[in-house]
Formats: sequence, structure tokens, C-alpha cells
Amino acid sequence: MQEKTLIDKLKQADQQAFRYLVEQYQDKVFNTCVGFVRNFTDAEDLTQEVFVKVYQTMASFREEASISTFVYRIAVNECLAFLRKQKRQKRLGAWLSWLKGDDTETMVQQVPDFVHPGVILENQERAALLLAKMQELPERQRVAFTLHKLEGMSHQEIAAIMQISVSAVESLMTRAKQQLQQKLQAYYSLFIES
Amino acid sequence: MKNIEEEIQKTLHSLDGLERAKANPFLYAKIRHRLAEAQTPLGIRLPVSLQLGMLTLVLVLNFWTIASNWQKSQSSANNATTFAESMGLTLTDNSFYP
Repeated sequence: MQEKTLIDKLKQADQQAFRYLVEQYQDKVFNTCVGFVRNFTDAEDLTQEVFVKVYQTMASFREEASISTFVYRIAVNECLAFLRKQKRQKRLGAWLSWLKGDDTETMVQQVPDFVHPGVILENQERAALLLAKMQELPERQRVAFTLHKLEGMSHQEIAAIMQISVSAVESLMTRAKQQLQQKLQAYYSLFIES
Repeated sequence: MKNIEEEIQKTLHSLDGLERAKANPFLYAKIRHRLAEAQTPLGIRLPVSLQLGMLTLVLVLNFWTIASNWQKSQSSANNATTFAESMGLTLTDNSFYP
């Protein structure tokens, strides 16, 4: 189906067109969500929410971007909103446990244990560590790096989704790599030198 | 140090050539279900201003009902006292036999 025809039909809430869109993008959206939230249940829930949002906001789609950019943009925004909410809840939990005088929660180290199903066996441990360290990056760097690494997107595609220039994406990618190198350096120094 | 640098590079490239994670095969059905739920009206939705107006009206009516009942009970008590006085039925503190 041609993109223009698909958009026109989606704007008319055509069910077959919507089914076609879901089938075309479900793995892409799910994979992106998995990369951001590192949890299959949450990723599936977010994927459903993304398509519900796409369906509900399709009427206001102005065709300045491609349908792919539109879907990915909603997916990224949903994932970021979810992560922000999760962070707030964690902060509140830590604060409440501090009030109760229970410090155990803050002392527990997070072990990178999420295994992406698409990673080959010998790389699974490293990939889990990398995904965990990516979570510590500033939001915009994380978005650019995740879309590049998990969806194999070009800088141009990332720029369209993030609504920034290509040079800004390049800068974000460079800084993300530098930060990850520093974080991994600190991590491996603990194990290799000791 | 060389070991660490190697480890870092290997880790940074560990996601290269990654295969996409597959979505649930029943995803479309779940989305349709969610959309149907979102479209089902939960009841009559009134604008917030109208809801506030109705709440204020209920509170005013309650207050008015309580106030008018209190006034009525006061006036009937006064009437009873006046009637009792006119019939010489009132008791003073020190006269049990008027």
C-alpha cells in the first residue's frame, strides 16, 4: 500500500489500513520500547498504547513527516514518559523508605540482567551491561543512541524523529559514546584490575 | 589497560547486528480491545464548570433547608412559650403552685 493512500485511509479510521499499519510497525515499535524500558511486559503495554495513540491522533497528522517518523516519535515519547514516571515512583519509594529508616533499598546495586532476545548468545552479557549503562545517559543522548543501536537508524532518520538537525544528532551520538566509554571504563576497572 | 579498552570496545559493539524483538502475535486484537474500551462512555461526562455549579447549588439548597428548618423550630418554640404564658402554664423557679 502506498504511503499517501495509507494515510488517507487511516484518517478515515479505515480498519484494514490500521491493521496493515500495525502489522508493518509492530516489531519496530516493540523493539524500540524493549530497548528503552528493558522489560517485555512494559514494552508490550507501551506498544499497545503507541498504536492506540496513533489511531486517535491520526486525524491531526499533518503529513510534514513520514508515517514511520510519526509512529516512532509517538513510541519514543511514550517510552520517555513511562521512564520519567518510573523514576518519580522510585524516588518516592526511596524517600519513603528513608523516612521509615530503612536504607537497604538505596544500598542494593542494580545488576544488568535484561537480555535482549535478538542478541547472539556470546554477546548477551555485554549487551545487558550496555543497555543498562544506556539508561544512565541524559535523555536526548539515550534516544539518539537507542534508535541508532536498536533500530539501526541513520542520523537523518533520528533527526526527523527528534525534530533536531543532523549535526545535533551527530553531537549527541559523540557525547553518548564518550559517556558510555567512561562508564564502562569505571565498571571494568573494578573487575579487571582487582 | 589494553584489556579494559578491548572490553569496552566489545561491549560498545555488542548490540551490532541485533535481531529485532518480535511483538506478540495477538497484538492487533489487544489494541482493538483497548480502543473499544477507550471508546466506551463511562457515563454522562459533564464539563467541570457545570459539575462545580451543580455541586454549589446542592450545597446552597442544603444550607437553605437547614436554615429554614432551624427558623421554623425557633418560631414554633416561641409560639408555644407565648401560648403557655397566656394560659398561665409557665413555671417559675420558686412557684410550684401558681
